[in-house]
Amino acid sequence: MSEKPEPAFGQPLPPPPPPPDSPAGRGGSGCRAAFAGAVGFGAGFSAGVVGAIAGGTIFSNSNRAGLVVAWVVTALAGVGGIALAVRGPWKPFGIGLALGAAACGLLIAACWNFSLHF
Amino acid sequence: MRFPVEWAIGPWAVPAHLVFESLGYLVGSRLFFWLRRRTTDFLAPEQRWTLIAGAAVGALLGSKALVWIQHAGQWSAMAAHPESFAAGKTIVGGLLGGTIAVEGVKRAIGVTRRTGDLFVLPLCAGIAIGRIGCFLAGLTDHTYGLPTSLPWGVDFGDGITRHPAQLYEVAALAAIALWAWRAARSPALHEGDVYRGFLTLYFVFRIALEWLKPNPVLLPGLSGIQIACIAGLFYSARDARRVFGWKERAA
Repeated sequence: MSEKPEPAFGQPLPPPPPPPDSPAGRGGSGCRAAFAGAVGFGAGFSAGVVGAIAGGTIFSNSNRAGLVVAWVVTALAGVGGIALAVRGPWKPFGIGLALGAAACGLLIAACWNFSLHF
Repeated sequence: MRFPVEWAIGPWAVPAHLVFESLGYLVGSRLFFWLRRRTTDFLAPEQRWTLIAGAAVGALLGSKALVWIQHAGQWSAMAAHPESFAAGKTIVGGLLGGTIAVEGVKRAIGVTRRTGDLFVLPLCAGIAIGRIGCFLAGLTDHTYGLPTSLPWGVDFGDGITRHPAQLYEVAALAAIALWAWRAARSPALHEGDVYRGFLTLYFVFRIALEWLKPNPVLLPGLSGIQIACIAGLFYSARDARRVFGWKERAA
């Protein structure tokens, strides 16, 4: 038995509720997705920075060693982010994580530019 | 002008390369979102963002992998300085890695239509701005050309005038962007053709340009980047006759 009241005879039917995936039905979840994406971006970018600092501390012979650790961390975070983005409920966080890690990885390589010649 | 160009901001000396590379990312992304608003994107926002994330991570991995391939002959020397494996990145590797990753992500999320056309003008703008940074970095960036006596040769600080290969690339990207702008309005082209045309033109240009650079040779006469460009052409140039209008002219 339906709990919805029947419309009076001659009255137009009320419009159906928007499906959850439509723009109209996405108001609240859109905000949540944007927030999760922003948190993911921060996490991905921070992972690279923390990796650089940790690498520079562990391999104290050269602060450039931090770049190696940062690059490995950002690559792993990026791939993990894509895996989350492709499936499951962590999609927006995964997109943010992948983008943050990629941004950090690409910028770190631009910051620490040094010679390949020996 | 003294290379590498740096700007003093307070106590810090900020490399022009970093500024221009960051500006390239910024302008490229802003241009992408501006174009996306002006056109009808058939992808849902979540799908488009997933593809963008895949492209970024693929570019990160590809740009590094090709540097390692390019310097395959130096691995034993580099092993003594493991941090050197983290140095450098290549645009060709980034384009190939990004393209492969996007194809993989599309398959995973069930997108079958071609999606690259919107990226072409932002890529041209972003790469060109970044290349100005490479030029201003001078010898440290390893993107300069071979010595030349041509009047536009540039002395990057060691007394030798060289081909400004970075600026040749800026000019080529401007020409490719002009082609893409016009091609996007052609009714004869299919979805994705502009992106494939962009890749084809860029790879052909880079194969030629690399002969003007002092690159390590991987196979007789070819550097790692040139080999990667040739491999990329197998993907991008499959529909070259239609993309560049040769089919219509032949008919």
